[in-house]
Amino acid sequence: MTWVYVAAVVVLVVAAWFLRGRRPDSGMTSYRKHIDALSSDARRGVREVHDRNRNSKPRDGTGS
Amino acid sequence: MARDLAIDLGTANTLVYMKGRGIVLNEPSVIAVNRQTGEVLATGREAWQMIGRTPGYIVAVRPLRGGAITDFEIPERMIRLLLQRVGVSRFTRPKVVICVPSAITEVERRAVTDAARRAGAADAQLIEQPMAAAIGADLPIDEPIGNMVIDIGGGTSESAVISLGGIVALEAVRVGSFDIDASIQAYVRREHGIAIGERTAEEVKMAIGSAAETEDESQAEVRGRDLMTGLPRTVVLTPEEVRFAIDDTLTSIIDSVKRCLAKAPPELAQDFLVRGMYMVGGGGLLRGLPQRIEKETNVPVRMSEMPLEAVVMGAGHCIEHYDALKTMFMGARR
Repeated sequence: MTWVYVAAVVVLVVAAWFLRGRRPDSGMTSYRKHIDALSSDARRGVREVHDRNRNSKPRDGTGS
Repeated sequence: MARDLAIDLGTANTLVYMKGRGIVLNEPSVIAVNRQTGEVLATGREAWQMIGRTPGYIVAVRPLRGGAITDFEIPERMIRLLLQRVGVSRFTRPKVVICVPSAITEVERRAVTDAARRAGAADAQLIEQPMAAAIGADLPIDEPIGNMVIDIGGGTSESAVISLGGIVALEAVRVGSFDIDASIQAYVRREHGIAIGERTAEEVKMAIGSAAETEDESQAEVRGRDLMTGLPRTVVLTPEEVRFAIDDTLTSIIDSVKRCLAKAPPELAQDFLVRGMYMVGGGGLLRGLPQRIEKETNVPVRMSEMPLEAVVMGAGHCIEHYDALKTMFMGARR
């Protein structure tokens, strides 16, 4: 009988955990992440990769 | 380990950005195919040099025309070859973000994503070119500010107003720099009676083409085939003639910019007067075009630092922050 109570508690905890993940603020969180990923600071990385790649390319004199 | 990729599948040029590596491929979007066997003979620069110079059994074509897919098999083969060239195999399955014109149809979208998946991509997502261009041009699109980007490509011209990470207004026309070349070809044929190829027309545009009068008004010699005699002939074109020839095409591009401005909410429209509009794409490099747009719209026009790479750089940023920016992909918003 104790196992039944334990299983019920586990089910309730898991259900509560799932419901917590579906709170309305999940939209706010993902939107915040979206906006943060578009910030100038976040974009600096791509520019740095591009500059590093361009500088490391051997100059072949073809001008292309 | 597969490195994720961003591809700018443009009408004129194709660029590939590899995560953590930057731009690894930049070449014309041209593929040369043997008509009889269906084999691909060349792609990129090599295929571009074949345009208009091939024997009957070879056809050198651009997979996109006017921002639209004319033959679904060609882009699929081109994407497969592109992925192979940057090291994608059946064992390395990268995520791929592909920039496409915003005017692309649902069928075309599906064709592009399916082609990428069949070519070895684990996941393929699409992003509109103006959105990618705005990210790549480093505009502050994360802020509540009106950012306007004008992307004049080979087959399409797209204008978009972007604020708070999303497109607020968008206007696209299937007119681009190839149509400018075609206008020059048609003018020379009509007024001088000689036929010239599309590469020659492009060279004329680059040498003396302009949207407004410039300081350097030198003429250009153009060689073609006389329509009456069939013999080679040379004519001299003036910049004024070229401006006249391309005027209608430029007008339709500028009209689409005006329509986009008109769609923008008033709160954002006032930002353009201060911040200006940003131009990207090869078409924006036509001499005098920014000045002419500025004159006709009364809004300052600024060129992006990297007009040809802005779109793929923006898509590259999306691949670097794939999870956070998933909601921006074309499929995610439907």
